[in-house]
Amino acid sequence: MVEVRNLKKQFGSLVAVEDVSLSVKAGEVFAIIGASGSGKSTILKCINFLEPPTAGEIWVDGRRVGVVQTGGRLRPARASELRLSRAEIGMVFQNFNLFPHFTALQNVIEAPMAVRGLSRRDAVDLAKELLDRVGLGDKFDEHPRRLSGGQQQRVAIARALAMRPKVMLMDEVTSALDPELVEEVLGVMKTLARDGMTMLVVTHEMAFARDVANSVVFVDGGRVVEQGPPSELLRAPQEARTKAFLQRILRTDA
Amino acid sequence: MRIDLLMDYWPAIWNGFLITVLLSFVVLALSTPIAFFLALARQSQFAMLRWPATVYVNVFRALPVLIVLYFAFYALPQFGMSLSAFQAATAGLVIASSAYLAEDIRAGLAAVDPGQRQAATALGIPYWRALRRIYLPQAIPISLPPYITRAIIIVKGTALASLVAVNDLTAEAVRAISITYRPYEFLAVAAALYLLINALLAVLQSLAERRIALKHGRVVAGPATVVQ
Ligand SMILES: Nc1ncnc2c1ncn2[C@@H]1O[C@H](COP(=O)(O)OP(=O)(O)OP(=O)(O)O)[C@@H](O)[C@H]1O
Ligand SMILES: [Mg+2]
Repeated sequence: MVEVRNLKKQFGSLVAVEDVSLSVKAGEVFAIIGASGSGKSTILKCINFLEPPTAGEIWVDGRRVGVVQTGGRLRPARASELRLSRAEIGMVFQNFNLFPHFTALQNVIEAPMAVRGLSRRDAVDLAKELLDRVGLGDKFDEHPRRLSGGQQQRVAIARALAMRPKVMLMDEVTSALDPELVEEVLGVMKTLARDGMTMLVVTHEMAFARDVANSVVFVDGGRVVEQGPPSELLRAPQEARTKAFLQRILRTDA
Repeated sequence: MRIDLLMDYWPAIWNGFLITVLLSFVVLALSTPIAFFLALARQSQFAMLRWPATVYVNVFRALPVLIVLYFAFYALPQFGMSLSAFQAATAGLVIASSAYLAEDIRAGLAAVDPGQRQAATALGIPYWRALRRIYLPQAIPISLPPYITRAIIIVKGTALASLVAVNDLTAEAVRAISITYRPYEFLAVAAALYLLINALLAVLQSLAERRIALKHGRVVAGPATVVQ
């Protein structure tokens, strides 16, 4: 479903991501773990071209993202083509990034109407169904500032789902939440996983990675250090850097 | 107080007042959209747009408005543009004002959380739609108070047009004074009329702020002071 091949991203002279290749199958939950500044967010942002990669290829659902082939030639995608690719890729952010002047419902209907051309009525029906699904059936008309962090993040998930994406990118979506609100968001993510949504999840929640992810990759210094099923990578890491990182994480968790 | 003198000159003063109102209105109406596009260009990812806009803003913000005005009055006709005094004054004031206003508008846009841009882009929302529906509604409440303050400064700045042969309020007041040697009467009248225009702007501002507050259920700052 998602193929990342030899991805490289450079900011000026800083190489944030180097030679990263990942393969995520349909319906898989793929966890990315690593220390702060290791390039996790950059990998996600390159997948939907929020940050155009310096080098490498991104494929989503069999289509190349950001590059179009016309008559044997490759050229950069136009803005309109990029928008269509992005519409297939949902993204949820650490800081929710809800539109503050919109209600929960307006947050969810905006993109389906703007991008998919849904009528207002269809968009509202869809939004209500999705908000219901994330447990916010009674919050349609609330503005984000009247919602808790956990509720805001669930609106953000519903907003991304409203585009009917093929894959969801989730960047530390519980990191900005008070501890008692983390579970309600992880719960929604688990439901999504069970329903077969393909997800790339950057997370520090090792229990989530262990219980929900099919595959875990550890990145350090912008490179993939180790990759495997959680049962192997989290229980019996092969690389010294992975071991050290997991020890640090588990110590701070305890 | 020589009311009779005031009455004699009132038609000319009133005419000057109308010209000042017209000049202020035309200058604001023209410089606001220009400033808006300058602000967008300064944020653009395309260097071709960003650079000229940045140079424009920084040059015309740095020059005294009077210099720009004289330039429009004396230099533009040399390039084959035959402009009336009013047109030349308008051109000069628009050039200078749009540079200032661009900064106020840009500051509002820059204050919008970059996460909003990321979210809108990730959803695939087209730029102009996101601008209209997402960025501007958040930027306008921030830009509005400095914008109105600047608009008031611009209205007062139209008095400079009197130096390039526009018969505005200031020009008429100064003429009446030089003939009658009654400065206080005419200065008081001119001051009152400028106050009137700018009081109107301040009222517009608080109306706009109230509307924004109602729409977003948010508390905004009080009106800007009228006199700078
Ligand atoms: N827009 C940018 N411009 C310049 N440097 C950037 C930019 N975005 C990220 N970087 C740099 O790239 C590196 C990787 O950043 P990234 O945000 O991907 O790390 P991360 O693993 O997500 O970290 P965190 O856990 O703190 O979110 C860092 O050194 C960061 O400073
Ligand atoms: Mg990050």
